[in-house]
Amino acid sequence: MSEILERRYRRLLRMLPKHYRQSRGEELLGALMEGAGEQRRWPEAREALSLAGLSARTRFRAAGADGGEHRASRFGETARAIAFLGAAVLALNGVNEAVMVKLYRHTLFTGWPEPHRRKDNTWELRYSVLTTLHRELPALWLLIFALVTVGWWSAARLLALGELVFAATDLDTKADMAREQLLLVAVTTLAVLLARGAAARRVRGGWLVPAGGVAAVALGVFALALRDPRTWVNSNPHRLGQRVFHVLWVGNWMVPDTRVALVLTSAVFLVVAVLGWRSPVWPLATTVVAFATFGSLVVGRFVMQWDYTDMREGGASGAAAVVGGLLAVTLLALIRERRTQRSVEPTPAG
Amino acid sequence: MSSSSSRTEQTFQILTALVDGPLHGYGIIQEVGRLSDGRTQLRVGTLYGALDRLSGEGLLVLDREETVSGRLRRYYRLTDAGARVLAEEAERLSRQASVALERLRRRGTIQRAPRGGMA
Repeated sequence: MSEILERRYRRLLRMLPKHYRQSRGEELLGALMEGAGEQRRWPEAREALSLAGLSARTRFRAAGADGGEHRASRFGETARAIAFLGAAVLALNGVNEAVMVKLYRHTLFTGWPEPHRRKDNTWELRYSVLTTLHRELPALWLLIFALVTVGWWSAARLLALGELVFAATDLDTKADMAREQLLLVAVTTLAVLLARGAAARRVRGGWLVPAGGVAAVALGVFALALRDPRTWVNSNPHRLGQRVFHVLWVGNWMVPDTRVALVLTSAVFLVVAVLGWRSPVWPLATTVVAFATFGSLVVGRFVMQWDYTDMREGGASGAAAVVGGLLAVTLLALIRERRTQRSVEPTPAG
Repeated sequence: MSSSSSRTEQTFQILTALVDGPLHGYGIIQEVGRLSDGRTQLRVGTLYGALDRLSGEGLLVLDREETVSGRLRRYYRLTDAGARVLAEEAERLSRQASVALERLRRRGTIQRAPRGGMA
């Protein structure tokens, strides 16, 4: 009888993180078995709930002292990486959206026409502050990116939640959902909320260079566009500045003539994956962010047969290739880590 | 002791259970049940979450390990810092209880304690 119960408790304990199970599993099992009556065959529901709570708490907060240093859990580190990368992509895209407003409306916050479907199935253009803000507020992701870089995570959480709520409103079509990057906003916000404890720390050392680079590119393009919008619009599209401008706008990536953006972005994603080769955390985070960025467009185009007027098959295929490539890199990194762990794990005595 | 660091009832009971000496996980669960007259039934997940936190704060330490009937037992001991925190918390609760009792006496809800022993 107790063997059956022990097996069931062991199965239940699998919900705990591996590192926690390795250090505490037998001790927990002992306490659970001592507390169980002679006739008990199944774990008590409230006991299972308390273990689920322990599992959640262990995953969401720092794993605790480890050799005198506070170590973040793998979950927290991955959430941190997703928050950092997602905020970077959204910051570049958001700044670009604001530049677009400035280029075509010449001033910010004056109203942006958005097509709305009438009940009789005809379309009208509406100008409203709300629709304008949908173009301009995403630029605040640059501030969120800066906040997580310097380690002010509480402020970043509040702003990210605000951006998510705002992005989820006033969506008229499925294509709007993709254009407004709702999936990426949701994934990034969730990651910002879940990176807690030791994972919610500022960026240090060599990582400050790419972080500063993202901010510099975004601010640089914004400053160039604001300085002389007309020259900017009429300038040679092959100029570096114009190309960077296209790279920043995620919505442009699906249009064939800006496929260069896709190539450059793929290169950035792959560099991040290679840099993080020592651990699957960064490849995994990059894959999640890439899927959240392109996923809704690719799935919408190929699976749901959504109609994007500004999207061609070529761009969607490229996006699918980026996500697939990153997924392969992540799987290889996970397999490599598992093999490395096996080779260093001590064999049981006796 | 600041209000921000005031303890929950369960934490208070776990620290109290360890005053008399080190106990292992299930021992703490039993002792907390006795201290609360069976009102508090700690679950293993809840207990170990609290033990992790209290160990991290330096209020408890691992005392020793034993294997009994093939099961691993780890005994936890209250540290001096843990005893100090518990004492401060007990005094805080005692003061609060005194204030509540005094006000209830003034209201007449409970009888004033008789002077000079039994009447």
